[in-house]
Amino acid sequence: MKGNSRLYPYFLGSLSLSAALLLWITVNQMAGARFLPNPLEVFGEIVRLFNTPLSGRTLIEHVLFSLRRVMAAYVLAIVTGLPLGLMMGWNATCRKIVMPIFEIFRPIPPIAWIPIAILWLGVAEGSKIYICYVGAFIILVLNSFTGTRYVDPLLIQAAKVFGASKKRLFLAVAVPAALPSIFAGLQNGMSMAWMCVLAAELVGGREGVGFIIIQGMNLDRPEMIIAGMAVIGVLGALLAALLRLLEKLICPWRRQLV
Amino acid sequence: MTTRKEASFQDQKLFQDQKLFEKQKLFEDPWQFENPNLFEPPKPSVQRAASPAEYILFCQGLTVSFQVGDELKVLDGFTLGVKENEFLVVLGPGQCGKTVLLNCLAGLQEPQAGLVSFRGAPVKGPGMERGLVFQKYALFPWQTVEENVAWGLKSKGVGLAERRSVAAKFIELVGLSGFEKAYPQALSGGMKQRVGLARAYASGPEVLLMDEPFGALDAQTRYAMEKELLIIWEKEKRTVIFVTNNIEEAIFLGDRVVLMSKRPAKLKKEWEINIPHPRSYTDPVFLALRKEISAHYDMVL
Repeated sequence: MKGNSRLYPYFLGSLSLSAALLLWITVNQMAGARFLPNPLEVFGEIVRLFNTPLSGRTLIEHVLFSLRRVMAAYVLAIVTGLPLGLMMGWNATCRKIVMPIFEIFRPIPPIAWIPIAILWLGVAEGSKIYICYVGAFIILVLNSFTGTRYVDPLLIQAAKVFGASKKRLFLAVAVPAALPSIFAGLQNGMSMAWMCVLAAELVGGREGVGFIIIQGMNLDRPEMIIAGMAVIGVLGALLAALLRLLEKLICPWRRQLV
Repeated sequence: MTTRKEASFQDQKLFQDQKLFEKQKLFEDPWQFENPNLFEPPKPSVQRAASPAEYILFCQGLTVSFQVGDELKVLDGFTLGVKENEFLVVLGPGQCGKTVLLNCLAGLQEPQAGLVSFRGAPVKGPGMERGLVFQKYALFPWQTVEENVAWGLKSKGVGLAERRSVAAKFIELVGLSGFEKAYPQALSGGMKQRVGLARAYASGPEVLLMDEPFGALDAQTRYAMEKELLIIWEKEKRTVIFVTNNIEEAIFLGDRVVLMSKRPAKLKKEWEINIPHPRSYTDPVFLALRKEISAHYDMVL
């Protein structure tokens, strides 16, 4: 079976999943449903949330709310963060100008922005998208920055020896060399955006996956909390898989590596 | 009346001349006469030259130093002339400044003093008439073999169809037909360097600069690549400047070998090598020359 079967990696992957499930059931049996509801209860809760609206919305609608916030912030962060990071990595003047202010903003956790974001943009969509944006933006800038900053000098030399123009040096050497780092940033930025949307939804709002979780806490229903967490976990894993697929398409030379 | 001291001096000189004459016959090395004292670095070759114009690539008084804590002088007034279509090997111990010299010739490194000229015109930066083969290949991992080879052609604005056909010609020359669409990552070290060689050839240079191109290969692959390089060079003659720290490799490949001293590097000595190709590592003339060059080779830790 080993090596020559297509199913072998899936078998290996299922090992950790079954172990986690087993642990979950054991804890449930030992500590009771008040401490940790069993998987079936949680699954039942997910199905119930699908059909029965919570605060006027079904599970799908709540998920779409969170997803919309994450995606709006993510796209904004890509459009602004990637070019800025690439320029900072490639152009020393640009780096020297932007770096000081960036270094001050960088350590501020996105969650620290929540009060001021609400003050500026209100409790509606604006402030939530802004918080996610800040989180993803910092990561995308940093990753595209290191990607272009640390391009192998040998490749730059080779490109110069064989007559590359400045434009080609950037587009055909710096950017492709930075792609692995950029894709790592896209993955981390996505996780960060989810982290932030949850935090924002926990603080205020009547829709979104974070709202389901906080509602579970208020209603004292642990199965609802865990249902919300499970939905985020699965959704996050799917989005990460989508990004990996995208990386394979855009970076065919890394197919053997990713 | 001659004193005893003078007499013995004359004897010694006679003996030395005799020895030098024998060596001269063997290797036809005019340096031996100009520099009887073998441990004194010879006068730069510019003095022997009628004019720099007889050289395709010429550097004079190159001085390069780096600021690494204290000032580190790598090249100190280095002068070298390269004749058209010769296979020149620059031999030198590790870290003696061979790569720095080559980078100066390629236009990647600006010397603090001295000048580099190509066909009489000063070199101000990299130019397509000088192709470079890197020790660590320096292939673009995101490009296929074909795209890597055609990189220089694209810089020149050559259209896709012609790029393909020229690339195919040189990929075939280095024996990599069938690997056009492969990415460098999938290739072995020897194959990668073949791509590096094809890339340098395809951009249409008059001078090929090779920076220890086989230094990263295992011994067997290295021997094979040395042989193959000569076959390729016979088919597509260019001026070659081949840098190495390997004495055998130098004798095996070169029409002329120049030896660099340890840092700060000066031109220590040079040999014309007239052993016909294909040369054998066990040929007595080869071995004698090897022994002689070894005696002049600076040891560095």
